[in-house]
This record gives sequence, C-alpha cells and structure tokens, in this order.
Amino acid sequence: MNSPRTVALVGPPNVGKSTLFNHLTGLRQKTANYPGVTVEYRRGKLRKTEVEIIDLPGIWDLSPASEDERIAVSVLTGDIAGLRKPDAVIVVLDATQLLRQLPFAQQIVALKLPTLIVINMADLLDRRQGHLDPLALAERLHAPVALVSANNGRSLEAVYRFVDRKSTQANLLPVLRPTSSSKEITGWSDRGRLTTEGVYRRPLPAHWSRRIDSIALHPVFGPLAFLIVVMLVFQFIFRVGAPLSDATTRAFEWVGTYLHSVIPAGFLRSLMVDGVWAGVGSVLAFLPQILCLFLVIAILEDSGYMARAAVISDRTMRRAGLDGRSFLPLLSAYACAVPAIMATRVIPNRRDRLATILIAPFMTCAARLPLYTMVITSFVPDRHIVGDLLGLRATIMIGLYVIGLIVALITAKLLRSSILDAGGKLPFVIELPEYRWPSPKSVLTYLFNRGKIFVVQVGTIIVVLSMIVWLLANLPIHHGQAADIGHSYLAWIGRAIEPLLRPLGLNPKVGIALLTAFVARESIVSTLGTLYGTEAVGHALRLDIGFAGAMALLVFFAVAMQCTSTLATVRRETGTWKWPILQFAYMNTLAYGLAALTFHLVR
Amino acid sequence: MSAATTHPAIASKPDSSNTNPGPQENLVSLEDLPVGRRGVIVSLKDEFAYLYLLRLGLVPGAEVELVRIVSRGTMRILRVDSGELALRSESARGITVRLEPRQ
Repeated sequence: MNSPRTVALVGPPNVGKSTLFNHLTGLRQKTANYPGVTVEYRRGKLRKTEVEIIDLPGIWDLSPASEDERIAVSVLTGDIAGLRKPDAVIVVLDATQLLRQLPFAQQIVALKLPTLIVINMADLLDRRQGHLDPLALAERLHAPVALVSANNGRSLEAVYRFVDRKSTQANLLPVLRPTSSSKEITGWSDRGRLTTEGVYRRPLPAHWSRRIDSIALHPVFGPLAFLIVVMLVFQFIFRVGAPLSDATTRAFEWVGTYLHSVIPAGFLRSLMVDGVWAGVGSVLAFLPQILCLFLVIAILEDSGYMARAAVISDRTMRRAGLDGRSFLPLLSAYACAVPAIMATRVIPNRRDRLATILIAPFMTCAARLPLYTMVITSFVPDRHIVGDLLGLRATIMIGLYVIGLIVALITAKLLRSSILDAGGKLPFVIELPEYRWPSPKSVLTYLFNRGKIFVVQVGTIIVVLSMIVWLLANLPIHHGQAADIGHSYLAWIGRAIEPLLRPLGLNPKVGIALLTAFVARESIVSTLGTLYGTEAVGHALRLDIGFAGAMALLVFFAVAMQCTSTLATVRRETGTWKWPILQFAYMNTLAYGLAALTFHLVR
Repeated sequence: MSAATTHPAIASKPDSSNTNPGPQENLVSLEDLPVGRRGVIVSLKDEFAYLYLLRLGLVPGAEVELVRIVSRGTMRILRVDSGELALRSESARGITVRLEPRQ
C-alpha cells in the first residue's frame, strides 16, 4: 500500500539525469508537454514494476524565476493538474561539481519528501582523483546518498531499491537511513568545511578536456574545427538524409500507383490514394532527415562539443540578438525548417528558443528550390556578371537566400526589442561539460523519442491540414468524380482573392498554385503544370505574368510562411496555436508587402 | 517576493572569515583577471540580473580561475570550483574578485 507510486527525478542540467532515467525505465517512457507551456517532461515506468518516474526539466534552483523552475516546483508540490504529488524525490547531482550543486540538494531536502541524493559521475570523480564519502555526506544532508555512475551502471542497485521499496520505512542500506528526526538543516553550506572534514575532495581539472579545448577554442583552429563539423553535418544530412527521404517518397508513390490500379476509380479512390496515403507519405518523408539531424545533434550534445560550438558561434549570433546555440538549428533550416525547429530544444533560454523558432522558416529550405530554379531559368537570361565567375542567374538565386537571411535577422532584432524583450540584458553563460564518448544507448533512446514525437504529434496535424487543402482542391463532386482543380473550391478561393493578387502582378492560376503549396512548397511547379495544361510551365508563365510578376512571385515565395508541416511543428514545440498563427500572419503579410514592392519597382 | 531576495547565495553575504578585506589593489573585475590567475568572487554587481550566474556557481566565496580568453576577447573561459564555464566578457565586468596569490 505504501509503495511509492510516483517518483520525481530532479537535478541541474548536464548531470546525466536523462541517462539515469533511461537506465531506470528503458523504452517504457513517453514525452509530454505540460499544458500550455513549452516545457517538456518525460514519464516512464520503472523496469518490471508499476512505479512511475517523472523526469523533470533540468534546473539549478527552486526559485521560480524561469518557466522550467516554476513547472518543477509545481510538480514537487503537487500543483499540476493531472499529476499526483510525487511520493518521493531523487536528486541527481554531478560528483565533479558537487560544491556548487549541493545547495540545490538542500533546497529539495527541505521540501521534506522522502529524498534520495544520487551523486552521479562517480567514474569521472575517480579518474580525476577526487573523493567523496557518501555516508558522511548523508549524515550532513539528513538524507540517504548514493554515489553512482549511470553511464556504466555502477551502484545503481541503491537507486532501484529506493524507487521500488515497499514501505516508506526504507530497508535501504541501514547506514544510509536519515539520521535522527529531520531537524532544521544546519547551515554547513560553508564549502570549505566539506573539504577540511574529508567528506569531499574536489577533482583535478579535466586534463583531456583542457587539451581538446586548446584546439576547439583556439582563435584560429577553433572556428576552423567548427566549420569542418558544420560541413560534415550538412554532408551527412544531404548525402544520407535527403536520399533516404527521396526514397521514402518514391516508395509511397510506388505503392500509391499500385493502390490506384486496384481500387475502382472514383472519389473514394482519389481520397484514399491522393489524399490520405499521400499525406501520410509526406509525413514519413521528413523522418529520415529528422533522424539524421538528431543523430548528429545527439552525438554533439553527448560528447560535449555542442557547448564549444555555441561559444565559437556566439560572437556572430549575438549581433542578431541570438544565442550561440541558435546557430546549428538555424543552419539546418536551410535543409528543412521542420527538424530545425525541433532542434531548438538545445537552446535553454526560452526567449532565445522562441526567437529561433520564429525566424527559422525564413531560411531558404530545399522545398523552395524547384520554383526558384524553374522561374530563374525561364525568366533570367544566362549572362555573366563577373567574367566566368558569377552569372546573373546565380546572383538572383543567391539574392533570394540573402533576402530570407536579412528578413530573419531583422525579425530577430524586432522580436528581441518587443515581445521577446528579456527585460534588460541577461548575462550570457554556457557550461562546458567534460568531453566524453557519447553513449550509444542514450543517443538511440533520444532518436527513438524524437522520431515518435514527430510521427505521432506532428504527423497527425500535418495529415489533417493537408487533407483540408486536398478536399478544397477536389470538391465539389461532379458525377461521382472529384472536381478538376480548375473547378474546385480552391479555384473559387483563387478567383475570390484575385484583387489581392493584382498588386503582385499575379493571376488566379498562380494564386491557386500558391494555395496548394501550403501542403508542400515543392509541389507548386507540378500544380502550375496541371493548371496551364502543359509541361512547359516556364514558357506558359512568361506569356501569362511577365518578368515583374515572376520576380514578385519569387520574393513572395522566399518570405511567405507556406508550410503546414512547419506550422504543425511550431504548434508542437511551443505548446500553443498562438505562435504558429502569429508567425503565419506576420510572414505572409511581410511577403505580400515585399512582393508588391518588387512588382512595383521592377515593372 | 522577488527571486533575488530569496536566493540563498545572495542572502549569505561573504563573511569576514571567508573573504578577508585585503588591500584594495587585490580586488579586480573578473574581466581583468589575467589568464592562469585564480581569484575568489567577492561580489556581483546587479544581483537580479546575475541570478543566472549564481546558479552556475558564480557565488561569493567561489574560487575562479581564468582558463583562456576566446573569440577575440568577447568570451572568457573560467574554472569555477571544479567545472568550466564560458562567460561573455561584458558579463564578467560586473563581478568583483579578490586575486589569490600565485602558487
């Protein structure tokens, strides 16, 4: 009866809390968001038991200054709707950082819940010739202490025993039982005493990490190493992720063609094959790229290099008012904004993270390229500007990338000085964890969880949104057949917005194509082909909208928010519809204004 | 109640046993701490804004050592007790340390 049914896991970031959590629960875990906030937590069942473990966000302190801390405190006091107050708490600390982390443990002990202090990274403490006497520390903390190493599983039995104990009177190691009745915790926070009394000996500096840092943070080699890492990341995503995504798309198309041949023609076939099946396919096509990006991120994070990369890129990023850790997510948005936005989780500061999420879709993603290529090759003469070095076409292409980047940087500045104003300058600091080999187990668990979140939580929204656009493009039904896109509700909407398109020099056909691009940007070229009834889309466009209209179309495409998958991801990552709706309105208004301006100037 | 007044690290002002008020010239801004030198944090300028630093162990009484200066002087790598941090130089300016004698 008395067996603890919920155990909360708390601790500062970078202490191996997740590794411990994975160890305790295996894959019997799920990731969830607290209602209405960006803060994420994981819950899972202890192996072979029904005891639930909640992994709280990493925090340094219980003073409710950040959203993470507010959430953690509410969980510990049982003030979160739908979550029981935990029956016990496990505090995880880093053995090599004990002096500065102990005040946190004292705060938790003061909550007077049954508490186990887990001092992790015992292996590192040993290697760096530090020392800790867990029994002496337990006496001083009035709480049981276990010195463990979650990485290799050393001494974890004590943790299992604590979590799974059948009664509140612990049959833990008897010596670890709290001494006497918990009196007021005496102020031994005097860090010197722990050392002089022989309870703790601080480890020596991490020599290997210092040595690696003398290159990784070197004024010349540091940025160089950083660029090499970035290039490798990109090579990996484009050489491995993108082909796998293409293969997934082809596989879905192949099965779709097969389904087409076995299901009798009619609206139902069209709905099942072109609507539902294609929708599911578009979700799964993202998966290889997402997993590739997250594999790289997990390795960079786990090895400790990510923090150094943030230090190196901070000088550039701060000019835009962003955090050094925004760099990698923003860079990966050049491939696709969806994994990029999911990757912003590495940014601990909520405001910086939100700013990065909001500007990521301005980066020129791969799905914009088919239209860029088509329009540029049909409208721009193949002329040289700087000898053989730079052609006019390439210049315009680069220009489109630059437009996206400039708009993103201006937006970041605007955000930082308005809705995401931090209320004064906050000091910027990054912890530099010791380098270590990434643990395959925690990397794989991370990948599994991220993949699951994308497919289950983002995928469903993508399928629903793309079904809506598909229905608009295929209804009403005439004689049991889906409407031709030129006579669908979507076409009707396209004609209705014609007055809006005129200032951009565009017509309803392009308008309809732009509307269908909301499901997948890259599909715009084939939609235009269907609408004009020709494969030579460029030629048809040239007769129809002219050079000025084409340039306006490019600018609109560069800036507009036209991706339901991105919106769905933003919804998932921010926990509310507020941000995706705001982003949608802002980006499209801006795109419209800039496109109108372009048309006006070029004409 | 504001978070700044409740933070234990702020509440416990450096007492005399820990930070002996030495000669004035021994107190420098963390920004001016030379590479390789150790110091003990005496005070932080704006305690609310520096709450975030306090959490990472940059509290009065903590021992710091400047490990290296990176990114053309805009970032400082510090050892605080046994861990390492990167801190923007402008943030280091508001932290006062007492220089420890060379070893």
